[in-house]
Amino acid sequence: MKMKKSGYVKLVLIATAFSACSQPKSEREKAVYMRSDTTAHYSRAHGMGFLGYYYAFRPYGIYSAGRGFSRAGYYSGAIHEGSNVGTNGVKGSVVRGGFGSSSVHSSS
Amino acid sequence: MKRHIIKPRPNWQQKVEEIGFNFHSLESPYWDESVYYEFPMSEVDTIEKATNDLWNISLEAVQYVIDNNLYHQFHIPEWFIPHIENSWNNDAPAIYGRFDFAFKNGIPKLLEFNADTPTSLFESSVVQWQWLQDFDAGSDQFNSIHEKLISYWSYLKDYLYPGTLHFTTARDSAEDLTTTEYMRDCAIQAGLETKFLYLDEIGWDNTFPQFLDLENTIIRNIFKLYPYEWLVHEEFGQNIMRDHSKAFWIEPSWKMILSNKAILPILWKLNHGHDNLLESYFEEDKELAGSSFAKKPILSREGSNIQLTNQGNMIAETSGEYGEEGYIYQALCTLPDFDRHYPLIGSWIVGQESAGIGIRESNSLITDNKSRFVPHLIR
Repeated sequence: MKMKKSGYVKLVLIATAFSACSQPKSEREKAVYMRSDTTAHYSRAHGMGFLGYYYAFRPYGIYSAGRGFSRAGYYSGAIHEGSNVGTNGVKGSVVRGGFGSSSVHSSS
Repeated sequence: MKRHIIKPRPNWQQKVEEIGFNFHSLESPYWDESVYYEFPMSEVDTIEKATNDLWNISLEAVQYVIDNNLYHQFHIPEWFIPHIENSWNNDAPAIYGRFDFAFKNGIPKLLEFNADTPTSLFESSVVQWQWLQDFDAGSDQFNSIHEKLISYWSYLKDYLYPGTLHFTTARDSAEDLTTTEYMRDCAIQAGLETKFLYLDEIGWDNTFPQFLDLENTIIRNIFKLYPYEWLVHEEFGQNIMRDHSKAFWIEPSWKMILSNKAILPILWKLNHGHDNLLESYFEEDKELAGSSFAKKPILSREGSNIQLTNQGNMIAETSGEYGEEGYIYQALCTLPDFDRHYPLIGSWIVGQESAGIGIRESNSLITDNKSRFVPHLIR
């Protein structure tokens, strides 16, 4: 009889792939990029307070005695490479921040 | 349907975190594998058939609402109607939805349809599947959600604009972000080029009216986990109409009709006596619901602002900030009682097909954001 469940389940956005049916584990390395544009207002993404494979925005920088943490950018393996290396040079006519203000929790 | 109490896997937290499920225990336990539900195949077949039937009559109901211009009953802004009708008439890509059932006496009864922003997708598709591999790999589970999502994204590829499929959600919700990223994972496996950005990162180009991502690439296809009733009232909401690139928003805007509880009286009117529907009425006809009914806001989330009345006596109530747009009245159908544990079945439709279920269990008759997700199997 045909099973009602998935034969195997593989995830590509996280480091661990798992499966039944003797599927090989993925050897794919999760790419990690550094966000170079530290002036962008969206950089507050790191402040979410939780870490995990899907939301691994982490501040990147150095600690020094007396000065504390000096932020240089953000790592993320969860967003596209281009999002981590762009600059704001051509954003003059572009407005951001017009969506997302109603949010508490979108799920239903 | 039977409820079993079992011992959780000793290292279950580590197990689920390894697959990216990090919100298993938030304010209160959310993932609960000290319990599972068992279904015979006959009941699974019943739920599957009900899901497919309800999907078909839901599509007919959308056409009815459009043909009869009933948008006022849904409190949909008039200026957004052309977008809804374009998305419907052009068959804009849609991917998923979740029917919520009370399953009693072998019959699934529709409580509501989460057609726009359904979550618990990752838990249903991946986390309970992983649990089954450890608990009883030889058993079956009503869950081919993962395969069907990949397969349907692959099918939709030809219906999207060429280029990138963007994914977005609001900040600060681990659950919403995980659901969105899981959906992106499936799209990647279907061969689509994807990018993630947060909603507030979406740019609007004032020179040539269109939405842009962080690299100023035009957004032409975008999956959003964010309700339309919020999107359209925000600063960029009207830009959706002005967008020269006419981006595909997924889910499409016609899902605004199905995700609104005003669809429930319409479904009942069009399918009077349907086995899987409960009598439902708008406020002006509420006396027809009798003395035992559920009063629900047409727009609300996660069980907020619901009142259950039995024989004229209120038996359960939740608070919240919804209800401004009005209410519907639905014949009372309480969730099945397993020693004061009340399971709600969320039945997934992916593309045009029933794809599996996830179960939320509560200690009260109203399922809310504190309800636990519990796994199931077929035996």
